[in-house]
Amino acid sequence: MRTFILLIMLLTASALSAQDPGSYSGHIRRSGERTPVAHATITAIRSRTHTVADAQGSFSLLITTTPDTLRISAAGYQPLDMPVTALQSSGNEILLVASTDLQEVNVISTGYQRLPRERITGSFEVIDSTILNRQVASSLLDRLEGQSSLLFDKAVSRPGITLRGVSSFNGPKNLLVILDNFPYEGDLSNINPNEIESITILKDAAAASIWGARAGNGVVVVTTKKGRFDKPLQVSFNNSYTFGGKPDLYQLRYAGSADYIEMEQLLFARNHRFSDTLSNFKPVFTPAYEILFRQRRGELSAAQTNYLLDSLRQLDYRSDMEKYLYQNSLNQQYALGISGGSRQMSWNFSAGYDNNRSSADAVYERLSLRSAASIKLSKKLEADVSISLNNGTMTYNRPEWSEITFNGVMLYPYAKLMDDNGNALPIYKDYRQSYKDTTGMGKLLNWNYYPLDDYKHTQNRTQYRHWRTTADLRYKLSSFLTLNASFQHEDQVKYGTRYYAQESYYTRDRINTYSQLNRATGAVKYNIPLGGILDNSDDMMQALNGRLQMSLQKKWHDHEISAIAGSDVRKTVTTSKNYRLYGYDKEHEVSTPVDVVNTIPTYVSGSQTRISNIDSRSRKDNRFVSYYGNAAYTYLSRYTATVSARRDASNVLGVNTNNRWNPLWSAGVAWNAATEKFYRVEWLPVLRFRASHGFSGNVDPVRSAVTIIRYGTTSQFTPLPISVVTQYANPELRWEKVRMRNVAVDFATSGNRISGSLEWYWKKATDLIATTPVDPTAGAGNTVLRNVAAMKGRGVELSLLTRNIDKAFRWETRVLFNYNTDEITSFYNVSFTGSSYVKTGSAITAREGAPVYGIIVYKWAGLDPATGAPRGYLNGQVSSAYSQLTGNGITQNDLVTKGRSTPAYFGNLENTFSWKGVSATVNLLYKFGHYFMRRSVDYSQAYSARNRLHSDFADRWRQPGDELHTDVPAFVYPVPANFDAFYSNSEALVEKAGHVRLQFISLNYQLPGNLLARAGIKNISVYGLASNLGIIWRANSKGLDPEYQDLQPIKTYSIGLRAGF
Amino acid sequence: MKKILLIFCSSCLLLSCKKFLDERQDAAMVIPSTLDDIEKMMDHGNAMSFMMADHADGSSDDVYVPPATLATLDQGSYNNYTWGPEYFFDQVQSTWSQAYLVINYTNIVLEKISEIDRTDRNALQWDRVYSTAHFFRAYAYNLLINTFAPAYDPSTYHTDMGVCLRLKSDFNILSVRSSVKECYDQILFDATEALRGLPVEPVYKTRPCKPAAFALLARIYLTINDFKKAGDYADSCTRLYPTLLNYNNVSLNPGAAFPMFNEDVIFHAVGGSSPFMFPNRVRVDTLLYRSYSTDDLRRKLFFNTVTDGQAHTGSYAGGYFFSGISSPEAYLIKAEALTEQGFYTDGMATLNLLLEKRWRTGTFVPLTANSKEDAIAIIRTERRKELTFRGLRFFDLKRWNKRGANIIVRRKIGNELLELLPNDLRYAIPIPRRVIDMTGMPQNPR
Repeated sequence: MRTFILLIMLLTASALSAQDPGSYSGHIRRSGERTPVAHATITAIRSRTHTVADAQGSFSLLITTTPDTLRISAAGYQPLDMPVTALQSSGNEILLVASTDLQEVNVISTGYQRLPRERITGSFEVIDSTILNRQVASSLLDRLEGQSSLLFDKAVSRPGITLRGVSSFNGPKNLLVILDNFPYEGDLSNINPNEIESITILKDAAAASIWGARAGNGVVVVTTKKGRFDKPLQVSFNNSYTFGGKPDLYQLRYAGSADYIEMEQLLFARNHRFSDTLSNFKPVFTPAYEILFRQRRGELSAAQTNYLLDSLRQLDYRSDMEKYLYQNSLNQQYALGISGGSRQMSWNFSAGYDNNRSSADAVYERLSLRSAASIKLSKKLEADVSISLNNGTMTYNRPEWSEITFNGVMLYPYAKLMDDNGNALPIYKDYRQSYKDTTGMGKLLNWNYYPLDDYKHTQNRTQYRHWRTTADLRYKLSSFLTLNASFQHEDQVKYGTRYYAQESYYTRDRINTYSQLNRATGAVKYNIPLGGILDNSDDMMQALNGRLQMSLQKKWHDHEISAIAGSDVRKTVTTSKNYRLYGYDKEHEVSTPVDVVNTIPTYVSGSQTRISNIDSRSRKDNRFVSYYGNAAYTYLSRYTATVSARRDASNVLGVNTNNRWNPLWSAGVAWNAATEKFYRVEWLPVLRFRASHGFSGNVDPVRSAVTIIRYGTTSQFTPLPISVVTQYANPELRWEKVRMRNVAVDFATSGNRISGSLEWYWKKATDLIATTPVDPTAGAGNTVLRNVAAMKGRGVELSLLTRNIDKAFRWETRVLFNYNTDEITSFYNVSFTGSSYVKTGSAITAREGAPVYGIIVYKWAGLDPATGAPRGYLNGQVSSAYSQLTGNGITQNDLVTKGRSTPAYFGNLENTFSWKGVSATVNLLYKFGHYFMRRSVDYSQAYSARNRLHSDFADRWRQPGDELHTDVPAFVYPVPANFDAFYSNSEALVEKAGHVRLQFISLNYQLPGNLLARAGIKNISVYGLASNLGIIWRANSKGLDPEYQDLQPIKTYSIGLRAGF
Repeated sequence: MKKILLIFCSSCLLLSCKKFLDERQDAAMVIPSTLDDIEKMMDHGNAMSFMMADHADGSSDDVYVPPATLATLDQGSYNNYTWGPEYFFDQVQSTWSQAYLVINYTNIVLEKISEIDRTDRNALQWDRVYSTAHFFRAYAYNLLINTFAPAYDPSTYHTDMGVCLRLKSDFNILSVRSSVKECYDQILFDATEALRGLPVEPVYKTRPCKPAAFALLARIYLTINDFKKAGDYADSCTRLYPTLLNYNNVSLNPGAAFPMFNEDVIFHAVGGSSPFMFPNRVRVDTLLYRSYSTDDLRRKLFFNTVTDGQAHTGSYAGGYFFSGISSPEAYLIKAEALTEQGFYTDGMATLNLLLEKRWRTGTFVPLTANSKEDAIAIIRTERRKELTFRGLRFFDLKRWNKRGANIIVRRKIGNELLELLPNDLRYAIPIPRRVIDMTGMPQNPR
């Protein structure tokens, strides 16, 4: 923490009496370059005197009592408290550190201004580069996991990253990311974490309301590294390698081949899908089913059948996949930073190269270049400019295990993908194998699908380029007023191509499907020409930001005012284009047109269809104009009050200009108790209280009160262009409102042995827009969006840093503890059925008093001892009438509210041990107080091949008595209606989700400085990191990882080197 | 000076911001305001072409659900098939919700078109859009009244409960049921307005045309037993659109569907999205299948024998049941209307024009009748055989039984025999429960 040393003070000895009043004089200069700092305000706190330095930085002040403390502040500099023990009339040089030279925790960046920490009233969380560098992920946000109070939620149906819980049901739920001054519109993966100096999370209304209508979900401000004036050339280098293994597909909880074949035999015995043999669509059957058909036709004896099935039982596609599809992954990261500065100019250049090769051989490459400079054009005018380029490509050809399907999303588990000689084998897919083999009379293209060969004939590639240019001009109008004009331009292009060569199954299948075979002559008419198929998607984004801001910084006597006011204009244009080329000849880059207008009888069923046409384009233009202002008033450097207000306007469709404005405001106070005269608690030298209150909003850019139609492509039946109503007029629609209150205390014991902050917050969101049922007679669908819901939330955040041992051997503990709870306070819902209240954590709970993402399920009455069928309660009576259980027969009393699906308590415990140059960090992540739904068998999905058969099938009820030790329903065919809907939403599958995870272990060794200095090297450290180390404790007894029920994330190990010259 | 600068800069922004914010956010999204906008709304096939008569067909005697399929039916479909106590129409689409979706689209269109001046330059399109909206609204209301109201009866139609006449697009207006009389007044008004501006030949058959409007009027007048008008309108339709598809020229693989928009089709609409009324799910009543002669080409083209019975493949709408208007229907309406007026020879002649196209060339012997009653019986049988799974059979049963046809529909479920007697209250299908719950409107008694 080199920046903690902010002050060098030169004092010469003095013989003056400590008790006598006298004058104290000195010169105030800028740290580093030692240029005079003009017009600084100097206050003697105990003497209650103050003065303003002249243009040369000289001052003289009357001191009545010693010891005293001088508080020195000047616009653009960090305020300084300096103890005065003896009076000295001349020769004192006081060095102030310019705000632009400040780093890390002392200054907080909101994207609009940089605030000294002691003047804030809101809730901010700063993550510096040291913490960011503990993890090596290429993606910036991933590095915040385990290091912040953000909640990373792995459930795909809920927002992935939330701050203090959600505050909108239907609006956008993502965080607003600010890069330096402006919202960042490009892909977050474009940001190279090595370029980042720090990240600030704005958590409460006082912190975030400056960002107005988009701040409702929290704001993350990312600050890039800057050069410094008067600094010699510095070079830093970072290189890391991350290794990961193959996924363990046997973690998938799917029935093995023997169980699967058992299910197929049971189904076959009940004539399941027999009528499909007559279907014109020639739907595919699994190999086991085909064997059973052969036995039924008398082509196989019972013994032969068993022999063949037995050989299938030995197979498991997972072994072939692990062997031939997967490899160890390797991520490489290189980063170079060069910076320096003269008196007039500072600059920073950085370059980064990432190359990540995944276990499925997907390659991600990123090159990032950035150059930034600050220039003092004159005494009054400074300019910052920067330009950055990110260039990336993603290439993936190999399928993941789940992408190999036989029909729908399923692959029979006994598929054999490679023969013993290393030749790829076909699997049954889409149509019956016997049909595929014979129908084309050898004239059609081979219709077989060879999964382990097929990917060699496809190419998926996404290429993007992102340019960002920024300029920031600061003009000092007077000693206390600064005019600031900023500008940012972003330009991102993204080209995606997906090429299916003629050899690929996709292309062969398309060509065959639209081929017409003359059975007499054997001539084939190709409606899709021979050759490949190339899909293209081009996306472009341009964002322009402009800002004009006036800052005021004024101090007189015991008063200090700091204020900004300004306006923002923003425009983001995104365009996208998709098109497909048929008959594509890759070598010569030519293609052949096809008829996408007229219907063509398809080869297999003869049904009339059009050749699919994905051509489309779209353009979006989002515009915002905002006016904002905030002001902070500080009295005696002890009491601070802040207010902030902002209005936003956007070009939301159908909103009159008058209604486009949405005012949002906040106010806060802070009290630096430790500086009170009566404060005598020596062991607690830092004690500060903060409180804030305010509103943030949520703009859902697609909501307004009028009927809106969208021009679409074409109708389902004709090539006519169509327009679709996307929103039915609702004159009663209003903006959502989020009120947030925050109370906090910051503290530190003497010597910073224990430091941290404790925050409480209360959140109330009203007028929330939610999907509500509407009378179908209105013809507006089954649901419309209305302002019908309200929720409240509250929580506690504790962040604690303790220095347990602070000798040669050091032991530091960082504790992040978060408590968050929320509740639906009102929700309009016309109840028809209990099932409309059943929620499994994947959607917002529509029930007053329940958590926002609650788990409300059917009460479980165990399996029927006679049949093994699941049972619930209907009006308090045990019942297996599933249609009524899931329909309108059920009452709310037959449901059980289990609790939350998002953790009530979560956070991290991080211990760092260091000795000499070696340090080790162990980070634990914990989540408690919530529930999850365990997956289990879903018979109707398994039978219809919409999903795989769950491995619970092996534990199913088979005979009376089994119900005592299993909850897995007996095999049933046909599946009664709503059988699975009941079971999969029943209490039987609810488990406690609490767990503790070993997030990472990192090791760092810093080479001794004296050795390196001779080689001209400032520092070198080598580091290692182990991540995804898995769960170490779980609350459920089933051995499940609540966040990854099937595949665990792969453990990764990194080594790296960091050097500075 | 500085203040002036700030004021200057801010006012620049303020002045430009109105224009700046007037740019549309999404090029594809608009507030409908032009004739093109609203005409394209009605070209949205997923909304406008789904005229689901499935729930009515599902209760008719043409459909047969094998026991194995029956066991897997959801409660709503099961009740639909067995005329059970109450339907559970809480699925996304039902006849009710889908018809009212069409009606709401037309209401939006008619509200918008009233704000657009009709000029010499746009008159053709203006009239077409205006009439198209009225056509769709009439078509949807006709489907609703046939499904959810009792059979037309002038002696009680002032008090018989019809459906909700919603003629405005604001979804906050409470729905109330109108009488059958009021409903028919509205339907006939809309259908007549449809005649004004529809073209004789549409660009695509998903758009209504003049012959379709004639046929729709004929269909409505047939339902209300005004045979003179029904016959006249059917005649107007067949004059404009005399074409019939000759099945001798149709060669299809067994089980394959007819081409869409074939020569028989005047107006294309599809059923569908009822959970069980899909061509590959339900089977055909065995007696109906056996009633076709082996020389009748429909026996092969309409049906495909599968393990558990005959699947219906006679749809003109691909994987859905057809619920639009076809020229055979116009011929059949004309035949029935002529016969009901006493011109049974002409009626039979009209029928034979159609049947000639259905039998193998050279095998067809024109049908004859000796009396009006005789002719009516033949025409009713042939109407059933021609218009299978077109969403009309249940309405025909309701209409004919009201006139004393005394057709009893029977189902054997396990060992239980279920019967739907003529003029049973259950001929008015119950309104979705959620509609009743949300509006408090009276349910159809069972």
